[in-house]
Amino acid sequence: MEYKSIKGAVLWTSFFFFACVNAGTGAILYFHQEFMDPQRWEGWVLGVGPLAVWLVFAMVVSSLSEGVQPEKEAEEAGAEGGEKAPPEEGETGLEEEGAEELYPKEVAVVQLLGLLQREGRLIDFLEEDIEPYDDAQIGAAVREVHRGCRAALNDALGLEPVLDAPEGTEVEVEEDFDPSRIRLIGNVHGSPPFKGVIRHSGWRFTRVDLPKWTGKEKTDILAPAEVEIS
Amino acid sequence: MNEPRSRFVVGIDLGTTNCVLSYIDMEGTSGDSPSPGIEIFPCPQIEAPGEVKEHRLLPSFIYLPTEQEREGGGLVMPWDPFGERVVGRWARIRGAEVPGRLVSSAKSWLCHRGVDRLAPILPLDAAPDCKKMSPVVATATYLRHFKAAWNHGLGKRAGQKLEDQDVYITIPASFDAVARDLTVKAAASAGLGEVVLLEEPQAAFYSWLHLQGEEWKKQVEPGDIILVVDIGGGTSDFSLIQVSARDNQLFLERLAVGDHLLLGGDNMDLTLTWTLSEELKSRGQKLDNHQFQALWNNVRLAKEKLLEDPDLQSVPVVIPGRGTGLVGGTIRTELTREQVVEVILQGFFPECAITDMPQERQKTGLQELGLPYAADTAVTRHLARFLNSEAASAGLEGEGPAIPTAVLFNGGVFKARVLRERIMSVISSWAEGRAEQPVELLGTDLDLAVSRGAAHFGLVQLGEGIKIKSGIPRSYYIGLESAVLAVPGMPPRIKALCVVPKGLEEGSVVDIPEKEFGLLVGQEVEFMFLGSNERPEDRPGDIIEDWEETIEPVSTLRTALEAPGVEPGTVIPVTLQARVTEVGTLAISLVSRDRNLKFDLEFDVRS
Repeated sequence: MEYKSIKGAVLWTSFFFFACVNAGTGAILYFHQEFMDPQRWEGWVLGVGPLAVWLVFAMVVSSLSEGVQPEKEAEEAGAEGGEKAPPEEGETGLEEEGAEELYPKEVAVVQLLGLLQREGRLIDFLEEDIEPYDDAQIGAAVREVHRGCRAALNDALGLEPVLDAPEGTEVEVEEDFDPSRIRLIGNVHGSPPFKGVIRHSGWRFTRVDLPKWTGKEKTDILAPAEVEIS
Repeated sequence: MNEPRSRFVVGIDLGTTNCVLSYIDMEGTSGDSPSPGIEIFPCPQIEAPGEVKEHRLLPSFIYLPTEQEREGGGLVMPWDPFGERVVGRWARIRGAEVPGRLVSSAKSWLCHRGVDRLAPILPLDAAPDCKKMSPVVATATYLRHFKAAWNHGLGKRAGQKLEDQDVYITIPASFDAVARDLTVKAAASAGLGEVVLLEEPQAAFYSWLHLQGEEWKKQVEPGDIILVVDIGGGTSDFSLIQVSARDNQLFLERLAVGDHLLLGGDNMDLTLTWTLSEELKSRGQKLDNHQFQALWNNVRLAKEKLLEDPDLQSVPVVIPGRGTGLVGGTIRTELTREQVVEVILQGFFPECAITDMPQERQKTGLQELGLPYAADTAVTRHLARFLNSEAASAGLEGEGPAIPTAVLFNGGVFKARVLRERIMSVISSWAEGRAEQPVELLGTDLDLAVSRGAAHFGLVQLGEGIKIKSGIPRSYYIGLESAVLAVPGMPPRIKALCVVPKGLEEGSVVDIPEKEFGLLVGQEVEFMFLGSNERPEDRPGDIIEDWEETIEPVSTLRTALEAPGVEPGTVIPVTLQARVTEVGTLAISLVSRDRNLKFDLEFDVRS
């Protein structure tokens, strides 16, 4: 449940309660019409009192909750898990009061694929039927895709090989190696350390530097359609 | 070093195509450490609708979104909740698709005397529902973006607003008194408060000094003349700095600055792109605006490759298909070495003699409203004219043109080593027979030096490091109608009265008692304001009769004389006073000694 609605519930319940009290005091006034004389204090207290008390209460509640709200939201977001984007490296300072944003799954897809499409036309390329064209024509187009996508990927992720040595060189795989970083192939038996030859140096990213998302929460647009107005 | 006035010292490079903000954190330094580090501020800007990213360069483009785009909500920044004006990268990309909503080259308009620079004129061909803005407002918009980005990010974390910091803004050395004044006005309207101006070539040189530390004294010697060649996206700027010695101390003085030249790296790329697009057209392939933009971008990349690698004979250039049919619609062509050599080296950097002058295009009576681009594209010929000018050669020993002994390059164009080498070889050919051959000063970052140098200048102002003696780069005059008999059909003769001599330094005041005016209180007065780059010897009070060749009109000075306690209609005697403000602008006033009154004259930029 969202904190905002808790706050709302408190306010509504209290309003209902004070409305009932007001009805009661209204009834008293009905039976003791002499209180209605503006000179007498009973009339003022019974008539306006409950409403005034509620107004003060409501103001206190809403001012209290303002300071707490973002933390509460962040806690809840954390509890839900999974849906939250990884914290960005290096504060941009764009966040308002440290409030974490909730990223739907789609945003990560839209951001990365949208970037590759925008900078290198990747989706156009993959979705096009390239059968009818000769290699030279495809090659020419690939230059553009390659240049744009490569620059975009390197800018956003900072790609690096997992193993720094060139492919083909002999390396020693240490005892406490991380199998998610190094995959052993071929004649694998026994326990590390192993000696082997690098067949593929792997890829890793050194940072995630995607733009900050300020758009809609739900979107399925990777690249908008373009209509030229003449 | 003096006590800093604020925690950060900030330098802003307000470029024609890119802006950069750098800063020095004075708290991160101690008194005896070497020069504190200069950081570049990563400026958040819209990358695409719904995405914000930080970049060190803030492209100087403003996009005015349509109502639908604003309502889409993807263009909001924390400080611009309605996405009214998009500044930066996406503005440039989007603006190329919708030119009627793009404000660009605001800086070139800021110093264009042919238009009213306070009137909303940009975009020039604006879409009917676009609210136009003046060049001053556009300039203020870039500054406001920096201010808001700083105050929401770094400034917020440090508890230091940008308007409370010591801010230095760079301008082309060729900016006249009016353009300088307008830049300060733009900063004020952006809410930056008091800023100080610094000339870009000087800033580039300060950046070099910062990198060298104490080493610089070993790299130059008394008598050296350093030429700074600064070619930005849209302008070229030259300055000469002289090294001298007194009492075993080295001194630096900025001797001269070049004329305003609207000629930059973008013109070079555009010319090459036209060459290729014409070639494609002759093969029956006509490009639309979008394809032309793609070609422009790829031609630039291909040009850089060809200039970098002397063995390459040609580089393929590809224009990707327009729609989703990327492969099918791809147009292939190539950029050859011959084309680059012909267009860039021969067209923009031809070899020439020191006596060659730029060709002037005949001015036609009807000139289209637009920017006055340089008629001759040859940077080297403009350089020859600059070195031959009175301003450059005056004050130097010996006769003839000023030949530099060292050259500092600035601007992204010079990433191509070939172009730096070409300029060096041309200058060497001019220096033939001299004792010394010119050397290139190395080490500065061609894109960021100006901004960094501006921040370094902040340290210099605090007493750290050497200061370049500069002052007002040209002399200024007031037009006086001469009291000779009017000849029917002839305009009255105007004489020029020198009020500000070249080299007048900041904080100086000049009184001109030679000429007394009788002023009618309660009425508006107007003076012709003139400037010259070619008369460094004129002193205040000098009256020049035949000035048309060497002095040109800059603006009009105006004031409504309303004096408290003086009856309107009274004539009071006044004299002129000129002052160079600490900010780097000119203030001209009329002073009445008897009555102790002072009237400041305002530049009138309504052409």
